[in-house]
Amino acid sequence: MKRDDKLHLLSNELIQNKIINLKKHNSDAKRELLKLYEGDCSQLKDDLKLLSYLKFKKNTVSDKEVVNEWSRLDKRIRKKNLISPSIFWLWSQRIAVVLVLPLIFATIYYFQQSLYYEEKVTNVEAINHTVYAPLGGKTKVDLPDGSRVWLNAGSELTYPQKFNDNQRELKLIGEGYFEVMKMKIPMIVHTADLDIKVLGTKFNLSAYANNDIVETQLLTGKVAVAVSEQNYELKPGEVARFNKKTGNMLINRIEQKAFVAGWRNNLFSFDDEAFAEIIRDIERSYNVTIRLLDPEIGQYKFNGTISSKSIDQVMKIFAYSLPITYHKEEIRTDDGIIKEQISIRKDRKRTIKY
Amino acid sequence: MDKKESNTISADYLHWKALKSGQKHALALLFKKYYKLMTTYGNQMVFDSDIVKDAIQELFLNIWNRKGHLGDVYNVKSYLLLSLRRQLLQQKKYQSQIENDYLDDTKNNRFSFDESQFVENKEVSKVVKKELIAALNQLSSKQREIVFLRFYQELTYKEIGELLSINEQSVKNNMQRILKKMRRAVSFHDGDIQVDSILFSLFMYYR
Repeated sequence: MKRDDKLHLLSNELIQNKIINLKKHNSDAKRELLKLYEGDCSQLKDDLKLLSYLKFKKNTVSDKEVVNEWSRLDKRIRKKNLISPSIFWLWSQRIAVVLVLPLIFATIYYFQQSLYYEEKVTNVEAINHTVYAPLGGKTKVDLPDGSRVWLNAGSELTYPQKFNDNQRELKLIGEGYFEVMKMKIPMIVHTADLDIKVLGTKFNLSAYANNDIVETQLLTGKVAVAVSEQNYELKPGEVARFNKKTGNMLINRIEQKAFVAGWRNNLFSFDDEAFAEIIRDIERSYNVTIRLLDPEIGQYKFNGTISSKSIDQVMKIFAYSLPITYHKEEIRTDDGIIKEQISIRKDRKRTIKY
Repeated sequence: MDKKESNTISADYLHWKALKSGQKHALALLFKKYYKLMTTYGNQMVFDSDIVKDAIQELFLNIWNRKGHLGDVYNVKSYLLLSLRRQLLQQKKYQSQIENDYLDDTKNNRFSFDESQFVENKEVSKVVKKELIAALNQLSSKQREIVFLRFYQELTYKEIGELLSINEQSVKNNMQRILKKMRRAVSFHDGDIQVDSILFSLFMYYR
């Protein structure tokens, strides 16, 4: 109890400053502090220790970045200056708004009309767009109907420049989080192994070519998962896992909704997943190559959520929770690109408990 | 802003005035002076460093574009941190709808700490370090933010209060709670720690 009584000293801002700025050989400052502590040397000693733990490393940002970012800003300022942000500009904006408003209403009216009468639009421009998210990166796509799709690393989405009148069709390879605008006409997402049919929902779909499981996680709304003539309906909070090899479909409740599409914030969530599957995700997200030197490591199960900024942190967590050791090096791939390669082997000193 | 503070003229305040009168070098000075602080703060809030970079760009661009209409800012540092905080929170809210779960206190990873962030201190044993970081990470996200603002950004209680829109006394109360928990985490291992050289000389002096 006595220790807590003295907390008012350490939580005092000025005393904190004095302790933080205390120099080794400044005996005046030490004496002053001890006086404030009413001669309680051991308490002061403890408090000095405590604050010494809280010393953060400074300058984790490089000087180069500061300079680069400034010149980026400087360029943008110069560009802006050409347009001269004067009162004239401000007023022309206001006038533009007044002029544009009726135009917007007219447009809305026009489109609604055309929707009611279901005018047949000739399908002349069936031009398809394909958007890629590279390995180690992510992308956001705005679709022509106002729906939005976030693409995870190593994925691609193909969609038409204009959706046709009776359905909105897309093709996905890899993983995407979809926020589908609600409309009368359904949206159909084709993947190599199954199709997803929706009206307006939020869901995450993972269909990577080199993963055995195609996973559909539904947050809100309703979706139908169609696999070879068979339809499975999902309710909000459910996840459908289709195994490509066995052809099995499993529907479960989502354990933690917060982690759905967590990859958008660098959160990896694994629910008793085989390590062999997990490393596919890690390889894509950090653009690294992972080798398992002992193949049975691939069958280890991992359960948990990792939030991380770097591949090193992720590997540390794996090495901590599974009996493995790893080694990282830089290799030159066949195309001459330098890539990080991680080799994992069993840690003979530890064994796995099932 | 109380009277006493507004009377002290800081270098930042002079830069700010120069900026308002359209001197770009003042903007450059402030940008370069606070960029690192703002980035480390932002990176604690969102995990995507590109989002933080862009937010800082927008923030300064916005300041520059509105330079004729800016008010007087006496504490530029906390003004910048506050603007960044608002912008990032707003953006986060806007960006993802499953957000609520992320903003929720315990599930939330904002301002979590790990060992690599701290200055290496050979005098502290690994066990104690782990306990301490665990204790820090068990604090509420507000308290963690206070730790970060106080001991990394070196803000005063008053500035922290303004930033988190709580009053100064509440910052102090929170600090008491934080320190109490930390003391508890460390006290079990007191024996592990060798006496720091600063402390040692302190002892010698008073013996």
